[in-house]
Formats: sequence, C-alpha cells, structure tokens
Amino acid sequence: MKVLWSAYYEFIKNIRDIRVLFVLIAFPISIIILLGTAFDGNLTEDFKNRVKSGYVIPDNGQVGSGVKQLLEADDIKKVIDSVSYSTEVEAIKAMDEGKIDNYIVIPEDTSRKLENRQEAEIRIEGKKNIELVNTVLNSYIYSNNALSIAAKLTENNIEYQETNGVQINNNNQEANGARISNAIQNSNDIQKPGEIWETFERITPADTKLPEAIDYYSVLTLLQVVTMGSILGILIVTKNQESNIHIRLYALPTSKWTILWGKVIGNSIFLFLSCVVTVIFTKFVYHANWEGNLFIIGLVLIVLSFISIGMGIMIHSFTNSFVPALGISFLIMLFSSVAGGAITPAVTIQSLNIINPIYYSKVLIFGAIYNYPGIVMYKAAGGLLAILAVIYITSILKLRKVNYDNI
Amino acid sequence: MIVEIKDVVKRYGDRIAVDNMTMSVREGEILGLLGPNGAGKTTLINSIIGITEIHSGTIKIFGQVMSQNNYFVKKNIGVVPQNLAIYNEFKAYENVEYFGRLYGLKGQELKDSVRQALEFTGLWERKNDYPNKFSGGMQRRLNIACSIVHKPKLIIMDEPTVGIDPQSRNHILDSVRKLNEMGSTVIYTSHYMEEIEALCSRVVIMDNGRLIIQGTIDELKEYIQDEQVVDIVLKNYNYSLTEAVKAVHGVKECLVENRRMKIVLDKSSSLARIINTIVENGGIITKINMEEASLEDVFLELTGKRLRD
Repeated sequence: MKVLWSAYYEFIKNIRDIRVLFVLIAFPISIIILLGTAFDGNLTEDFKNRVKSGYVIPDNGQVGSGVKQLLEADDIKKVIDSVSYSTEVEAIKAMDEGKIDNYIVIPEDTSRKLENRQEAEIRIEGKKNIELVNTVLNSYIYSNNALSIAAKLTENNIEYQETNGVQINNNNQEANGARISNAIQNSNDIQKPGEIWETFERITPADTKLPEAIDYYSVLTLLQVVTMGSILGILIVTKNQESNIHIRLYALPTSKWTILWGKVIGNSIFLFLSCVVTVIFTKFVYHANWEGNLFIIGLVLIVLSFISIGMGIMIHSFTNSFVPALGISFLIMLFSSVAGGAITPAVTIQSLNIINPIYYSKVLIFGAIYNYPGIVMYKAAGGLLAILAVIYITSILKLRKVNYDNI
Repeated sequence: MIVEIKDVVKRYGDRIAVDNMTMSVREGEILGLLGPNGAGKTTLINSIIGITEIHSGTIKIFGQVMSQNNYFVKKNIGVVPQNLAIYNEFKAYENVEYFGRLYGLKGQELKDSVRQALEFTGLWERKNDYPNKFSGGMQRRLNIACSIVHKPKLIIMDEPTVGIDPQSRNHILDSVRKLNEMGSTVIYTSHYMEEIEALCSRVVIMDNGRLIIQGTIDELKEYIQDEQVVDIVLKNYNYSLTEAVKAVHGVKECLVENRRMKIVLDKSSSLARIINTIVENGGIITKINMEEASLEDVFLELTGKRLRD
C-alpha cells in the first residue's frame, strides 16, 4: 500500500512541477508543431530521396505485377524511390555502390505457388532503411490478405488459416537483411485457384496505409519524449543538495525499495500520461494516424516509460553524480533516437538497434498501426522486455549497496 | 536510558567524523548536543537514525540495536533534519499527510494526526498553501510538523532554528518544550548556546568528533568555576596598576582596554585584595562586575575556541 501512496504522491509532484511539465509535455508538442508545420503533412524531399530501394521482380504473375504497380505509384514514390533491376546481382552491385539502400525480391514462381496454395515469399535484402520498405509492403500484403480472408469468410463461412512471418536474416553474407515470408493457406480446398487474386486485383495503392511525415514523426517524437523521461529516473536517485528529504525518507520505517518502486511507478505513469497528451495532440491537431491496436500502443508506451525511468536510475547508479548521468542519458537518447530513425528514417545504425528500446518500440507501434506480421511484433516485444529486465536487474544489483541517497 | 551510544567510530576516508563516542540519553529529558560546525554532531545524529553506517561501536535505542531495517525503532523516532525536508510541490497538509502515510498512519487517525501536527506548529490556517509561499520560519515549522505527525517517543532535532527570525525561533523553542512536556524525549543539536541553555536539562559538548564533556548545565559551569572573571572600570589608569594586579596571588590574567580592566583569577583568590591593590596604586574604581560563566565560556575553556569559529 505504501508503494501505491508513494507512487501517487510522486505523480502529483510531477504534475505540479512546471519544469517537468515543460520538458515532457510542452517541449515535445512544440517540436511536433514545428515539424508538422514544416512538413505540412508531407514527407520532405530529403526524406523520400534518401530511401532508395531497388526491386528484382521476375514474377510476371499477379503478385509481381501488383507489387510493381504499388512501387511505381505516385503515393509510394513519396516514400520509396525505387529502381527496377533485372537480376539480384545487379541489385547487390547497386547496393554496394551506394545507389540503393535495399532491394525487394519476388521470385519468378511466386504467383504460381500462391495459386497452387503453396507457401511463397517476398524478400527484402539490404543494409538499411528496410523498416520503411517493410512497412509499405507489409501494409499492402496485409490489406490483400485481409480482404481475401473477409471474402472467404463471408462467401464460404469457413475458417481461414493464415501463416506469415518475418525473419531477420543474419546469415546473409552480403548484409544483414530482412526476410518477409507471406503465405496464404486454405485449410480446405474450398478456395479455387485465382479466387484470391480477384480480391488482390481490387486493391489499389491508395488502399494501402502509408505513414505520412506527421505520422512518422509523431511516433518518433513521442518515443524521444519517453526516453527523455530518464531524467526523472536520475532525479529519483539524485541527492538534492538543498534539501534533507533523503534523511527524512531514510528515517522512515519503510524499506527503501518501497519508496523506490513507488517513485518508479509514479514517474512511469506520469511519463505514460504525457505520451497520451502527445498522442491526443498529434491526432486531433495534425490528424496523425494512430488508428491501430491501442492496447498494444499503450502497452508499448508504458513499458518504454518504465525502461526510461529505469535507465535513468541505472545510469546514475554507475556515475553516482547528477551531471554525468544527465550527459550520458542525453547521449543515449540521441544515439538511440538516430539509430531508431527519429531524425530521418534513412539514417539508421542497424547494429545499435539490437539494444535500442526506441527501435523496438517503433516497430511495435508501427506494427500496431500498419499491421506488421506477428513474428515481427513478437521479436520486437521480446527485445523490449529483455531490455526492461536487464535495466532493472542491473539497477537493483547496483542499488542494493546504496544506503544514503535520495530514494 | 532511551539511547545508549558506546564507543562509536565513524570515518570518512582518513578523516574521523565521530571518534570513540560514548554517551546516553535519558527518557524524558531534552539533551543538548553542542559543538561548532564540523564537530561531528550531524554525523552522530545520522548514525543514531541509522542512515550512516558506523565502523565500530554500538547504538541502542529503546534497548534495541539500531539498524537501517529496525522499523520498530524508526517508527518511534521523529527526525527534524538540519535543512528543510519538505516538498514544495505539496501543500502544507499534503506534506504532513504524505509522511504520515509512510509512517503507517491511515484513515481517521491520519487525519487527526495531521491536524494536530499542523495546529501544534501553528500552520493549520495555512494548510492549503504551498511551502514556497511560507516564510523561512514557517517552512521550519512545517519541517517539524512532518517529523512529529506520528507522535514519536524520541525526537531528534538537528539545528532546527538555523537562519530564521527571532519570532519563529521562539515559537520553535516553545514547541520543543511542549513536546517534551507531552512525553517526548528530545535530542537537540545547535551551535547557539543560548538555545541550549534555555532548553536543555543536560548537555553533551562535542568537538572534532570527540565527546568533550557531558552533564547538566550547572555541572558544566561548575567544572570551570575554579576561576572567575572580574570586569573593573577605572576613572584613571597607569601601567603600574596592571603590573600590581598581576602580582596579586591567584591572578591569572589581566587585560586593559580603554580604562576597562578584565581580570581572570583563581576561585580561591581574594577580590578584596585586588581592589586594595588598585586603590593603593592610585587607581579610582567606578564600576565592578563579576561575570558568570556561560556555556560559551565552558566551551572556550575546554576546546580553546569559540562555538562559531
């Protein structure tokens, strides 16, 4: 019970602290206003020019032609500047020369396999910016699948089973890459060859959900806001030199862990609610797209809030000083933001993303909005929870010996 | 004994903050802990509370060895830290309520206790104001209210009157007396000896982390009463007067400034003989004043320095 009271009062304290409100609510909203005004709802030239993708589509069936149509559509060109290559060797060469960031491969027999109800795959190979291409392709494929499923369910009233997934292909000698596998299987032979493609053809690029600049930056700015919350974590364990509050807290007949957890919970909830304010603001003022699974989005934000608070505590437990902890926290926020795609989706430090909570959160939130495959979501969720566990285990181990601080 | 401290040593690196300290606090008394800045008072207080781990020795409170996890003891102690320990983001009522909750109070008991603490410190009328709207004295009083909300048996006050106006100081001193009358034992640290003299029944003097002396105020004064100070104002003065007075048996020191002669003499020596010597040497006395020893004199005598050095 004391934990909850401690959390409640910590929350109230933050609500009434004008400095905290400015940093975690007014500042990010100002940034979004600036970005929103600057982009006017569209992606910038820099944005679209930097995401260069190639495609190798020997498949002349409905899948190949559908994806080609998608990639050449004007709306998609705003996001992905794609170039056609006749072979993978050419695409790899172009990627090595820096002409493209990645390329999409749809093998020759993809349409035929799907028509025969066999598993088929669409691959994305590349060193960077695969997330954006992933988003576009996944959204497109899922739109097709969803329509197809809907058609099946309504027309045949038969359970329809879908399997699909994305695997990170670290064994690729050329580069780390992403691999999208999509397969549509019918548990019975009800579906007639070609039936699914009737729905496929009805899909136009305009039906595909695509993130506009404000959608993208709303999510990424929001994630940066959460990482800025590590300041709150640092403050939890920083001794206030002007106050003796730490003496009073230690004199209490209460475990330091009770007070610490209360503060962590209170600050995390405050951070989460500051995210909600940002989400509401971007949704109603800039009409940013938050039309996804709100439960997943909320869960991601609350977990990231806890990670951020824990990160602040962990950093301070190593530095034992406010200013260095703040500096390190800022650097981590900067690198994780850049690596996660907060500045521009084109500049990513892929290797850093393995330990980057912003990256995993971005994948999960975009996944919740743009229907990423389940395996992508599970992997990102696993990554996020692993980071959460590592941070709190480390912090607890470090704080075990601390007995005189502002907890 | 409500507090027993035996052979306590606390070091910070090579520096010894508390050096082999042994003292005790009796139930129902106000014990003054006196010493200059850096004497080790706050370190000793923090050790008693359990915040600072001691290197050796034992501290027993209510008969139990004090430790960070001794919640029984902690529940019965109220701590008024040297600096303010209140949240400016909470109203006065919320501050007291918050700490009351963490002391385990709830429901009507909590409400009553918060009200009593605020009324006791004269802040009930300002309960809905934020502390940053308060004067320094009122903030200090709120600091005390947060420390007594759970009605502790032992209250430890670490220089609670530093930097406040005389009116608030008097209010706080009155509060300490009332708390003591209501049954609380008080450990009161200060480097204002007049506060200690006015409040405390017993005094412990510390310097450089060591116990210099402990006892009642009368006992301490008695300790240095083997000498007395006489202040004599003269109408006329010549150098031979000083030499003549210094020659009197029992006179330890004779200082003259602007025809004012300050003489330190043994308790056994005769004041009449000094007066006769002055008169015989042509001096005309206009005023004689015998100074009573103060705690400051005690401290000066024992440590060779003043409290506010």
